[in-house]
Amino acid sequence: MSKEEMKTVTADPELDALLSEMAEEVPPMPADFHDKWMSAVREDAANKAPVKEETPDRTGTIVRWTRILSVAAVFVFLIGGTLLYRSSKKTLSSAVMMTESRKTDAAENAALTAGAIMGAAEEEAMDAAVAGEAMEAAVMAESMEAAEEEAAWEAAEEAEAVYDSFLPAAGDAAVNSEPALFAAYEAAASVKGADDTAERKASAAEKAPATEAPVPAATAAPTAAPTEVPTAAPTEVPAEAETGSFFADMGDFLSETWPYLLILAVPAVTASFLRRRKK
Amino acid sequence: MDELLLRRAQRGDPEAFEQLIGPLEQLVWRVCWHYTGNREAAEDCGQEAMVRIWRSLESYRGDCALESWVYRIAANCCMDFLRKKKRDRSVSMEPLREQGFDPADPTPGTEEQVVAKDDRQRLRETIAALPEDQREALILTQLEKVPYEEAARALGVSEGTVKSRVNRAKARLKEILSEIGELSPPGNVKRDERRSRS
Repeated sequence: MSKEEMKTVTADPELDALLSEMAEEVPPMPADFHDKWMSAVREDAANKAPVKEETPDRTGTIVRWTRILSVAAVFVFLIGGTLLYRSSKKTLSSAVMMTESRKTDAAENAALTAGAIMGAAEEEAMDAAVAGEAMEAAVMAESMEAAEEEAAWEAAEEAEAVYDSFLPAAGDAAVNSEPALFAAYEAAASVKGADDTAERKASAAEKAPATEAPVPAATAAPTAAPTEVPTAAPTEVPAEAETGSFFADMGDFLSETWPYLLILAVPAVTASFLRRRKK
Repeated sequence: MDELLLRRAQRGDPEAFEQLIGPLEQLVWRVCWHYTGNREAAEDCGQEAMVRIWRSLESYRGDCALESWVYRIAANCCMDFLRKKKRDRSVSMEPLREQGFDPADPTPGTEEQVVAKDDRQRLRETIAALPEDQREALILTQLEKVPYEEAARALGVSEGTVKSRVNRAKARLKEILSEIGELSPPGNVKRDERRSRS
């Protein structure tokens, strides 16, 4: 077989014309040709074994529904698993945050307790201070009264001295006008004494030293338990822990479950392979 | 081709088979006619071919055109028929030959037979005398006008092989027919001149 023979067919006009004529000169098919072979086919079909019940249509229907259910199962697994994963993730986050918040509350409560105790101590100290101030004021009042008395005594002494000074000059006149002079003297003395007394009162009030009365020491140690320890309001747990997008959670879910999927897939693939091999 | 119809026919539905293969019965008839050259033989071969197609349809996988597959079965059926007929004829004539009777060999291919018959018949019988592979390649491509690519798929060989067989078949035809004067020999002598000479 030469390469030339394989490439092209030799053209021979005479022979080709004869062959073309031969191709067209085909006698008509016998009229009963169709009926004969159809009857032979029907007879052969009747003699054959009965057709199996499982028709391709039914097989196709079963196969189609199997595929639909398989796809639905995959979607249920993916979406349901992701939703459960997200739910568990939120629950875990909430539990963690709850624990954290309780720790914070305890610390806050302890702090508040200490604060309350400190507050009580401070109140006691303040009470003591107030009491001390009251005592101081009382002492100051007494000292002022004493000062006033002293000033009044001094004024009286000065008035007496003035009286004594007027006494010789008015000795003679006194004999004569003792009552008028005495009245003037008393008036002057009273005026002078009143002025002095007022002045001394004012100065005494200003100069009265704030003598510190001994204030009872405010001890820091609480003598009694705090009456009310405000407890910190429990930290509200956030309504929802933040989660990523749905598809990101789906990816996390698949990344955590792929070993189990592999375990399930191996027997399924093996069964499918064996079934196909059997066919 | 309707896949559903094919599946139904493969499952054994005669009506589906009729719808599927019915349009190809003309092809089967033509192939049988070209192979046998005889109306009765072509009809017998055609009937046998259709039943064989019905029984073999389950094995059709769609790897080639349905027409090519049908042609393949019809051609095999015709060749089987011709072999069987040739064998039967030679067996049946044996006692006569022993008695000295030497009837003319009815099978085409002998030079003497070709000379005595019509041009078309001679050509047909010459084709029938070709080797099987050359004959089927020639009939498929030159008589049925099937493209070489499709013919190669039907015969299960390469396209180059089909062309080579066709070339050899045509060369052989030309040689035989020119010897008997039907065709101009390889040269310049025309056909009518050779007839006048003989």
